[in-house]
Amino acid sequence: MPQQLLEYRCPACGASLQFDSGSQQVVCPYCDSSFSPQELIDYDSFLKEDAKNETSDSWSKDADRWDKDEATGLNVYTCAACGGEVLGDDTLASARCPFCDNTVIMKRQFTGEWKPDLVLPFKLDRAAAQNAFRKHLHGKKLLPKAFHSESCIEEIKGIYVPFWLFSSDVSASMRFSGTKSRAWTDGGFDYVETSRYALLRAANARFNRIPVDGSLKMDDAMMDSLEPFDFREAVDFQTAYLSGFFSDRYDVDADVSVDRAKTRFNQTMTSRVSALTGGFSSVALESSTISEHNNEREYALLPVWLLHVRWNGKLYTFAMNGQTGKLVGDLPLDKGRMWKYRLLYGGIFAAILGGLCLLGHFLGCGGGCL
Amino acid sequence: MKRVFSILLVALLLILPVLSAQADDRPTYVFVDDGLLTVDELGDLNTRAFMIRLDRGVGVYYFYYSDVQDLPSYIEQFAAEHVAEENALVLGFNADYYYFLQIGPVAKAALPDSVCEGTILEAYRAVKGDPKGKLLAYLNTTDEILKEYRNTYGYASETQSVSSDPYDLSDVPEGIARTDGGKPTLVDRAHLLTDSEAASLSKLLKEIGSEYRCDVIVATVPGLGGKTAEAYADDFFDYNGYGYGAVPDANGTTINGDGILLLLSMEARDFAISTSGSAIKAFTDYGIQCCLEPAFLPYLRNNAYGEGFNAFAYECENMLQAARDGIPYDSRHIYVDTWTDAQLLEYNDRAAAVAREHNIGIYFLKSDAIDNAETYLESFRYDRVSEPGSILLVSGPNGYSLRVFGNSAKTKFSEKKLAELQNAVIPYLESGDIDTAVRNYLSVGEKIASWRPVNWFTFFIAIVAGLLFGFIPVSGMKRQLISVNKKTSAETYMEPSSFTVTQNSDVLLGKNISRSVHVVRTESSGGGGRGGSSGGFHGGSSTHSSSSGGTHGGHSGKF
Repeated sequence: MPQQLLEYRCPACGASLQFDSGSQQVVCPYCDSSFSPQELIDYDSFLKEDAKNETSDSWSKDADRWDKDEATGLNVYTCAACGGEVLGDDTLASARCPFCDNTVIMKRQFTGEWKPDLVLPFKLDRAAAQNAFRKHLHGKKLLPKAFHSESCIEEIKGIYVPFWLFSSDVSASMRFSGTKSRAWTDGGFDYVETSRYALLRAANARFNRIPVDGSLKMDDAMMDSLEPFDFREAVDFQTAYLSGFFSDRYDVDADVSVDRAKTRFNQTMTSRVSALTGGFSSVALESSTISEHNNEREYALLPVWLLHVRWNGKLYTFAMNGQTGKLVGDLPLDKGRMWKYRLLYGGIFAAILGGLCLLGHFLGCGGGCL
Repeated sequence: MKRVFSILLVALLLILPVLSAQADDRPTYVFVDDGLLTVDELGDLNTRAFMIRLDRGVGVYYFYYSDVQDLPSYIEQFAAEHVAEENALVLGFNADYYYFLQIGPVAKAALPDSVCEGTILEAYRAVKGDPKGKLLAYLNTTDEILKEYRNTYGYASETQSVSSDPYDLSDVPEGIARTDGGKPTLVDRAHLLTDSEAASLSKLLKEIGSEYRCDVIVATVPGLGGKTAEAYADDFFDYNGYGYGAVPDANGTTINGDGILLLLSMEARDFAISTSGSAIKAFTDYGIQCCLEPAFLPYLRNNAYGEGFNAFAYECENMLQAARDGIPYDSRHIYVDTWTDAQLLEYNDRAAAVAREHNIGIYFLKSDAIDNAETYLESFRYDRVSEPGSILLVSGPNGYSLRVFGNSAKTKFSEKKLAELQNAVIPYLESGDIDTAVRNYLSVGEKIASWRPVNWFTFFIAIVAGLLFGFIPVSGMKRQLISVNKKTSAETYMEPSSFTVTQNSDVLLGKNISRSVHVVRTESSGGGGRGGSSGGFHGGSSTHSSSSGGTHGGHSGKF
C-alpha cells in the first residue's frame, strides 16, 4: 500500500513549511508567509480537490526491497523534493530529509488506531533548548569543568513523543488494624489498657491525564522527569503541527502502559487513605482494594526537545519539555572534584570541631564536652 | 577402665593440696547417692555448710539415700554417726519421704518443725531440676533463719552472767594481763572468747599499751543497761580508772588518761570506740572510721571475735606507730605539727577539693618527729596516699623531700613545673615561714594539678567526625547532577476537589488491660568525689565530754 506522506508546501512560494513554536503558526522560512494550522488544512483539502488526478503519493515506501529484511525494522522512503532516500524505522512518523531538509510526514502513522487524539504544540524553540542546556550545566559544582567547554551538542531534535494519557475515577477501600492505649495508675498499680480496632477507610478521587510515555525509544524515567505538562493547552491533532519536527507513533500498547499509571494512582490513593488513620498508637495496613471506573485514555503527542551531547567519547542525552522548558538529564561526576570538595568541607568541619574541642579544653571541660 | 582410673587419680592429686590446705578436719555435711552431685559441687556445698557452722555454730546436714527404708530411725543413726556439733539440723530424704531432725537447744528453738516444714522446705522445693541449687537454697535459708534468730535472741540467752556492777572488775580472771596501771586489758563479760584466746589477746593489748604508753582496752558486755554505747564506753573507761599515766581519784575515776577502748554490747550488737588523752590525736575520726573499723568489724560481723579483737589490737598498734613517727592516720593532706586543727582545716579542705576534682593528692607534711624525710615520704606514700597521682613534700628537722608519684601527676608536674613549685615554697620553708610555704605550695600545686593534657583521643574523634561531615554537603552537590527519576506518585494529576472520603469507621475489636506494680523511681544520690577517701572528713578528731567530765573521741555503731 502506498504511504500517505504529507508535506506542507507554502501556498505562496512552494517551499517547505515549518511550525513556529513562538507564534504557534505555520510559517514559510523563505518568504515569511505565515498561516494558522487550520488555514493550512483548509488549503490542503482544497489542493487535494484540485489535484485529484495527480499522484499525490510523493513519498513511497520501497516495500518490495525491504519487506524481506524486516528484522531490522527499517523502511526506506524516497524524498519527493529531491529524490533522496530517507531511512526510518517502523514508528517514524515525521522527519526531515537529510539531503534537502524538507519536512516529511508519513501520514500512515497517523491513521486509524494511530491517530492521536491530542497534540500539545511546541512552545519553545531550538534556541531555548540550547539555552536551557547551558543553564542546566550552571551551578553544578561537581560537573567536570571541561564539560562546559569541551562538550558539543551533537544533535538537537524536536520530537513529538507519543504518550498515553489515562484518566480514571479511582475508588480505594482499605482495612487497617489499629491500637489505642491508655495508661493510668491507681492503688499502687500501673494499668495499661490496649484497645484493638479495625479501621475501615474508603475514598474516591478523580485522576486526570496521567501521562505515560508510549515509545520504547524514550527512557521512561526521563520522560517521567519532564512532567508536568499543561494539558489545557492541548489541541485536537492536526498534522500541520508536526511540520519541522520529528515524531514517532506509539509502540507500547495502552494496555501495557496503563500499568504504570495504575501504579502511580494506587500509590497516591494508598498514601492519601492511610493519612486518614490518625489518633491511633499503632496502625498496620491489613487489606486494600483499589478499583477504577470511567476509565478514559487518550493518545497524545507531547513536545520534547532531545539533545545529544558528546563529551569525552561518551554520549549524554538530555530532554527538555517543549512546553515548559524543564530540562532533565544526568550529568557526569568529576570524582577528583568530589574528593576535593569532600576534603575542603571536611577540613572546615574538622577545624571547627577540633577547635571547639581545644576551646572546651582550655575553658575547663577538658574536651569532655564534645 | 584403666584410663578412667588414671584420670580420677590425676584429679584427686590436683585437688589434694587444696583439700589439705583448708579441709583437714572439716566434717562433711552433705551426703547423697553416688552420681547425684559432682565432686566439685559436693565440695562447694560442704564449704557453704561449714561456713554456716562457723558463723552460726549450728551444723546443717543433708542426706539423700534413696534406698533407706525406715527414715526416722535411720536419721537418728545418721545423727549419731556424723553430727559433731552440739546444735544441728538434719534433713534426710529417701525415695519417698523427708524427715527433719533438730539437735540441741539452739537448733530446737531456732528451727522448730513449723519453720522447717514451712520456709525451709518451700525454699528447697522452689528450685527445680538443679540438685545443687536445691541444696544451696536449703543451706542459705537455714542460715538466714539462724542469723535472724541470733540477732533477736543472741547467744547470751544460753550463758547469762551479767555482773551486777559493770565497773567492778574484781571478777576478771587472773589469766588476763593488766595494764601498766594495773587494770585488766580485756573484760569479756559476754563470754565471746575462750580462756586461752582471752589470755593471749590481753597480753597483746598490754604489750601495745606499754610500748606506746597508751592503754588499749577491749570490753564486751551482754547489754548496755539503757545507756548509749558511746556513753557506756566513756564511763567504762573513766570510772574503771583506765588511761596510761592517769592517776585515779579516791573513787578510782580517771580523767583524760591516754587510752583507747573498744566496747562490744551483744544485746543489740552495738560497738563503741572511746579515745582519751593523747589517743584522741592519734586516732582521728578518719583513722577510726576508715582504717581501724574496716580492719576488725568484718570479723565481728561474722562472729569471729578472737580474730576481730586481734585485728583491732594490731591496727591500733599501726596507728599509734604512725602518730609516733610523725603524723597520725588522717584524711589530711596538709599536716604541720605545730598548728591547731582549726589552722589546718582551711588548707586541708582546699587540698581535699583538688584531690576530688583532679584526682591528685597534694600533701605537705611537716613534723619534728620525722627523722628521715626521704624514707618517711616513701612509707607514707605507700600506706596513706589513696589518690592515683600525688605530690608529697615531707619536711622534718633534718631536711625535706619532694616527690611526685603516679603517671597522672607526673605528666602534670613536669621538671619545669616542679622547679616552679620549689622556687615558690622551699625558700620560705627553709626560713621557717611555714605559713607562706604552705599557702604557696597549695596555690601553685593546685594550678599545676588543674592543668589538663589535651585529650588527643577526643580531638582525633572530632577531626575524623569533621572530615566525615564534609561528605554531607558534597552528597547534596552530587544529587544536583541527577535529574532523571522515575515518578511513583500521581498526586499532581488528582483533581483536588475530587478526593472524597466515603467510609471512615473504626470498629472496636477488643480491649485488654494489663496491670503491673507501680514502681516509684527514686533519684539515686549523686556520687561523691572521685578521690573518695576523704569524703566527709575534715581532718582531726571530734570530741565530746563524758559524764565524769573527761574528754573523749571515738565512734560507735552496730556490727
